[in-house]
Amino acid sequence: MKFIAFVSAKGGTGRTTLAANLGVILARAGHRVLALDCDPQNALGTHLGIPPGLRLGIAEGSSPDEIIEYLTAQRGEVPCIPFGTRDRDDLQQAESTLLADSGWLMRRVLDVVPSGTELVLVDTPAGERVWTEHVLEMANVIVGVHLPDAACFATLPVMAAMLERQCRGRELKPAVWHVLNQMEPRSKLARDTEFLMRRHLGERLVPCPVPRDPVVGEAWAQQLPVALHSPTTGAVAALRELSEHLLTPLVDLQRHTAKVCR
Amino acid sequence: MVKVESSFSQMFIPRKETIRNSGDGYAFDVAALLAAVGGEQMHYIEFNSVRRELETRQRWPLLHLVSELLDQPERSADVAKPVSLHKEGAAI
Amino acid sequence: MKKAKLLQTPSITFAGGIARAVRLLAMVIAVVTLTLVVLTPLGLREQVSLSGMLFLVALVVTRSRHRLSTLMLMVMAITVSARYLAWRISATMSVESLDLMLSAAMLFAELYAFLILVLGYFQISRPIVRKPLALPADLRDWPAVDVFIPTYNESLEVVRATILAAQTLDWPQDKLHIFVLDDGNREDFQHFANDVGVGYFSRRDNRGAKAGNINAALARTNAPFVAVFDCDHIPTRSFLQLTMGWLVEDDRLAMVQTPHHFYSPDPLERNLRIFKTCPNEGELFYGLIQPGNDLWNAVFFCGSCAVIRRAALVDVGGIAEETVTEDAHTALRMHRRGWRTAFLGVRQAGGLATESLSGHIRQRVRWARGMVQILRVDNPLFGPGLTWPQRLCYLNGLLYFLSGLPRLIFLTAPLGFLLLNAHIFAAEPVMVLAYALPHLTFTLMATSRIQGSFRRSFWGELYETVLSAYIVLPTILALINPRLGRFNVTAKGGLITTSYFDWRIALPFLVLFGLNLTGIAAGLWAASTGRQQLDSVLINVGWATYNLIILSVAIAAAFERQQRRRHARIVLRLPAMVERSYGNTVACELSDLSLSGASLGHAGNEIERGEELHLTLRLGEESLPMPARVVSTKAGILRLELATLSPERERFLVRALFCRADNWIRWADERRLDQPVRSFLDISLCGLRGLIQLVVNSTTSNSTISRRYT
Repeated sequence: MKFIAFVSAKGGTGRTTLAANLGVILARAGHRVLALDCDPQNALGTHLGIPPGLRLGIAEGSSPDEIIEYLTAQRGEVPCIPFGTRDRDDLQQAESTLLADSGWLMRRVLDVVPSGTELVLVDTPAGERVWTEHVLEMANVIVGVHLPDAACFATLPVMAAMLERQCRGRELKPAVWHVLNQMEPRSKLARDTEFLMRRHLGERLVPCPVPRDPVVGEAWAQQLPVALHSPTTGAVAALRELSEHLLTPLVDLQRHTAKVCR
Repeated sequence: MVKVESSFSQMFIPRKETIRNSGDGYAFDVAALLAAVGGEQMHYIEFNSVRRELETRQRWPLLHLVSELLDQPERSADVAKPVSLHKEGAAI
Repeated sequence: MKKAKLLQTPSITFAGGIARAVRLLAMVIAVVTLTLVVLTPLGLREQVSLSGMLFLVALVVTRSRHRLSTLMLMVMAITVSARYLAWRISATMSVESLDLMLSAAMLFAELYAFLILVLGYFQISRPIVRKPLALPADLRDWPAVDVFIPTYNESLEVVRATILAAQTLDWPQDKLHIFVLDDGNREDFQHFANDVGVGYFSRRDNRGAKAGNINAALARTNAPFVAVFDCDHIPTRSFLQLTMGWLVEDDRLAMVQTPHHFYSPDPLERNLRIFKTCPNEGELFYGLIQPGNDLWNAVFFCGSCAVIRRAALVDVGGIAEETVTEDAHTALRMHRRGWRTAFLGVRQAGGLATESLSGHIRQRVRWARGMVQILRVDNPLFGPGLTWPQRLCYLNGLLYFLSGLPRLIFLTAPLGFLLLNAHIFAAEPVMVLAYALPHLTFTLMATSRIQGSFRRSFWGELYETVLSAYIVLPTILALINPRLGRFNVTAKGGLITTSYFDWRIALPFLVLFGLNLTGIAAGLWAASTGRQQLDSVLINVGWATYNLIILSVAIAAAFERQQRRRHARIVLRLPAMVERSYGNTVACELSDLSLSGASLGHAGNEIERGEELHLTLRLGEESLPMPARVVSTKAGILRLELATLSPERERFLVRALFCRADNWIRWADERRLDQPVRSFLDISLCGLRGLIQLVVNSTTSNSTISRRYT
């Protein structure tokens, strides 16, 4: 079972939407997927058929049995464990639990994860929150989500530092990928930002950016995954490519022995 | 390493398995070429990319400043690759 | 000895004087034996047995693909052919005047063919597969390069891609100087050069044509190296980094030549529909002959896709202006002065093939005239400075263009008997078969073995046939007086607007076809009425039939097929995205691209004809959207027409189409080995198709008759 964590340094990158839709595509490709929301915004589930405001989740006081029961009752393609709706005080309490007991999140997840699950896609809050730390600790693959704009580019050093800090000292280091989301090829700034990101991130940045497409938002509003709503859109093709990329062992990329210097 | 034979019937017919689908990713065209012609020991310099980068950084000063941060040596070792990759961790 | 490894030739060392003596002795014995074998006259039975035996040995030997078995086959073929010629000279020359004349003419043609064959075997005995050499680690040691793009009357539309591609050569910008050498003094060229930022030279006169043009530019520039590209030969971005290593390393190396690759079909390929399935005419030269020349240090300049050392050019007084093949002549002069040349067999540029068969022939007639001029004014057999292998290699290259007369003789020889009752062979027909068949078979086998992957069997005959009638006079004239004849430029970039049959160019083939056909008819009639012996008739009829087949293909090649597109399409798989006016994106797969359009496979059917959208292409680290209009959506293929592009977009498109380093290297991937019988059937089929088309064309009322393209 592998954990794929979706992170970004700033909000609004479309991380949650991307994670949910990627999950659907992976599921349709035959993988056993579980979506896990570790972002207090609790938005992941809205893509996957979970009613907003549901008082159940990994961070709620729900018992493992309640969660398991809910999971088996879900009809969607990708079972999803929401974060839960907590008010500010409850949230702070949950976070201090997390700070005190570093293995709490992992134990909770392992208690409820359906058997046979191959991939757990985990959404995190933007920036370096307590939840992010813990998710990163258990991640096998980390996917950084970025927008092709100057603001996002400016957060690259922050994200790099965060990732380095989180993964330092880990025996089994995770694979790190970056993906560009909501790409607008007609904007010169977007193109230039993409170019510079490639120069800095190198092979870490997945070749195909996910294009900005209004159907993504429309699908969300209809509570449908994009793959179902508009299967022929470029966004779906890009996500499909991203999923293949995540599944390809890194060894392939290193097969090129030619040295190419910039 | 591609073995190129000196025989009457071949001229740089590349071996398929060493060539990745070029077109996705930068410089893979050069890598593919060098693998096909046996020039792996060559050190190819991408002047076009360097030029483009300079132009881009001149055009957007903020991006230039951030790039300088990213270029700095104490961060550089793992900035682009914040973690070194272990084979196990890379495979799903 | 890194260089030796990169050259991949075996080192020729003699392990001491004794071994040397032994080798010499062995060679002498071999030569004596062979001479005896060649010169011993044999009766019919012995000749048949000998040939049969050799044939069986050859069949066994050719099972292995080892170099040694190829050499053995070569030796056997030379022996058998020499036997044939010895017999020809000694036993078949008649005494009657007409017979003697015709027989002598035929013998001349056969001797010529044999000479070319033997020289050719020598020339390509060990082709070098040269690898690129790395440049120095310190960028300060990289030299400056002037890039010349000479042009005369080609339209800007053809040349602009070359200029833009030259700007994307991966080389330090301060050391790369690009110049358009415009002998046509055109304003639009000057404007374009200024707009994109390259140098522009023009002259008041155009004395010396392309050679004079380059020489004038040499006087106005000063980089130590000069790269020359024909105006439609578009270099890849890696051209310089791949070729310059050798020039920097060896300062007596005057030039590195790379192949001329065409991404559009040449007239023969297009009209006969063999594009990409059969090697084209140039592949033998760039695939085998130049690599062969490389071993002997006899690689010559081909006018384009090469880098030359300025010091070497200065040493020989610039590009030679005395002949119309200034490129080969210049290389010859450089070799005489002791300079070395090299060939790197990696396709690093792509160009347009000539548009029509007449243009194709005109270009080759110019080469033929020029090469014969060189033979007269600067004969490689004489004069200082060349090694013997170099002399022989140049000789072969030059003599090849004298094939006009011999080929015409072969095409008309059977008519001597069929129409004039003359006997070319004063011998029994069965004897003729016993000697000629082995000779032809072995030549076929050896040639197929040696060069089959670069040129299929029998296609060489076709190329020669197409040219023969046209180069005969110019080459003979040039042989008599090399000063005759003007330089005529090959037209590039025209568009054949409608399919038509070029009667004018096909006239000689039709005449020869008619003659051979008449000969066959006459011969069969003579045999049926008993006026001639059946066996003699059959041999000559067989020969005439073979001629008919080759000529029919030449006729087929004169059917010019309509070109519907302004720009040649290139099959390309690049990531692409289509964005419609509302921002919706559609996933699609690019299948081909040209400077004016694109074809994409796509899913869904919402896109409509006439819709305006943006096509985003991805090239490495960059992507760029291009405005386009949908031309058709039939069969799930989206066909787009690109709008007029801004300079930035045009440059990007040129890069995507032509400049990727590996653009052309996979061109010949799916080639299979030559099979002579299969090749003969293929070529016969082409000929048959041509004849049927001819009959249909001349009998239907709405056919277009001899309309020349503008």
